[in-house]
Amino acid sequence: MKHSVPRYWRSRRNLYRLEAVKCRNCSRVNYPPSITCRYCGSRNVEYFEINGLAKLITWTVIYSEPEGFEVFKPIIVGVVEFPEHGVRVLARITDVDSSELREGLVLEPILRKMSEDGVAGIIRYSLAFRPKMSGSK
Amino acid sequence: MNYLSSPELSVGIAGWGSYIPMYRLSVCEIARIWGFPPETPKNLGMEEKAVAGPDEDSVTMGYEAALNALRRAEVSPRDIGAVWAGSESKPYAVKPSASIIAEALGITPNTMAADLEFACRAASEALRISIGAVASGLVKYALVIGTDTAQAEPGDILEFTASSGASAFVIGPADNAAAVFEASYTYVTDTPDFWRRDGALYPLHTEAFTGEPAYFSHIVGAVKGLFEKTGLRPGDFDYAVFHQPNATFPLRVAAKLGIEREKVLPGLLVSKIGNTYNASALTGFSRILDIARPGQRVLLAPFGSGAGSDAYSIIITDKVLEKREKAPTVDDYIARRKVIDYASYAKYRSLIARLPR
Repeated sequence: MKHSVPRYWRSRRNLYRLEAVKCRNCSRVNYPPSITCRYCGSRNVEYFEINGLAKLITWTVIYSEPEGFEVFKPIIVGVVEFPEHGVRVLARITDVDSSELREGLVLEPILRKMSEDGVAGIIRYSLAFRPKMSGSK
Repeated sequence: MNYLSSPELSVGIAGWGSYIPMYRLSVCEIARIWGFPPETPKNLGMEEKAVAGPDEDSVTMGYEAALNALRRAEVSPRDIGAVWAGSESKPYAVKPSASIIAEALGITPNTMAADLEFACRAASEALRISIGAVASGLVKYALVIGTDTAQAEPGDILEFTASSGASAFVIGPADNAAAVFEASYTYVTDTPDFWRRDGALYPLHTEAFTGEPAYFSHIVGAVKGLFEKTGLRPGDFDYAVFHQPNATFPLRVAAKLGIEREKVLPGLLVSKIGNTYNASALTGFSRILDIARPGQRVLLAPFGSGAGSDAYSIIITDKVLEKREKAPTVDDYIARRKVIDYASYAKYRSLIARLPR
């Protein structure tokens, strides 16, 4: 096994769900979540889950993949923004050819396989983003 | 038997959801690659099948179907007291898929969670278990998931139909239900029609044996048991959904039971998406929930090799209308399609793989 199981386990909530914190002092949203507001330093923060649709800001296509990602190649990685919260997330983009991408494309988060540690090791799952499909709210 | 005392009557479907991956493989491609007679797809009633992408498996598909079901149920994940996933394509031989899905949906840690295996009807067994759990008060809501990236050996006749998809249901009290259970009945025997041994990559099946003594005998046994238990007759049902290993078996079993084909066709999806194994009949039923009117009665009869079948009588309620728009429909997923060739399918489903570096 080459992937760190404890590291994956510790980060699973952030990989599976878009958790952020809102500062009760300055009302700013912190993502990734932090127990201290990175804008005002207050520890008076509350956790919440970001839901809904995001917009594609920018992206790149990776052709030289790290080990464990071979089957996903080419890998599209993008910066997506949740306008309501001003939160930007770096994530994999899936179910789309890179030629179909454009700035402002509306995306939705979905759970996908992120990597596999060989045939016997851990499978890591994480949120990725795909173009919004008909019927999604 | 007085079925009006059945525990089913207090239990219903609070939310439903499905997931079908976007990739489609024309079954003519399979006939071309493996040298089948050109009429083989037509004989099976098949056009194309849904193929999970390289980053999908039964966990990710089950997650999305369950997310759609939760959106329609409008219940807090914390109110889910059991997550039961039926699959015969678990990513891990040992490590539950149900706990991964439960964690991702925010249901953990105060919940039961387990994977069930009974070929294509494990999720239906979960449905019956959940009826008991909710009716007894053991849990308020249970999440039932049927999900499969169905395996078939390349070149086997099964490859024409084995596909990928998932459906999920939030089972709870009848008063928040889009549909309520009226009665259910199960019929199980030891019948070796289809199996996959531990460590084997693909299932084997006894070709001529899969029809009469397995599929037909068990579905007929379950449905007739339901009829005898309730006094209901074929004419009492507006829709009938059966397990869909191909497009001909469900229509033939309907004819054996005296059910008109027009009642079967709205939930018969196999020709467009393939046989999604544990999600097969359940996705057909999910589409019925997408289109049915309040007051209509549905016969649902999943089947699993090994072998067994469950028959359910389900009545649609007024709440189906307000819940319907809260998540994508089965038709939304069927319409979202990208045709791929056999080479891409082979890569996506790990029929070919690079050697370890």
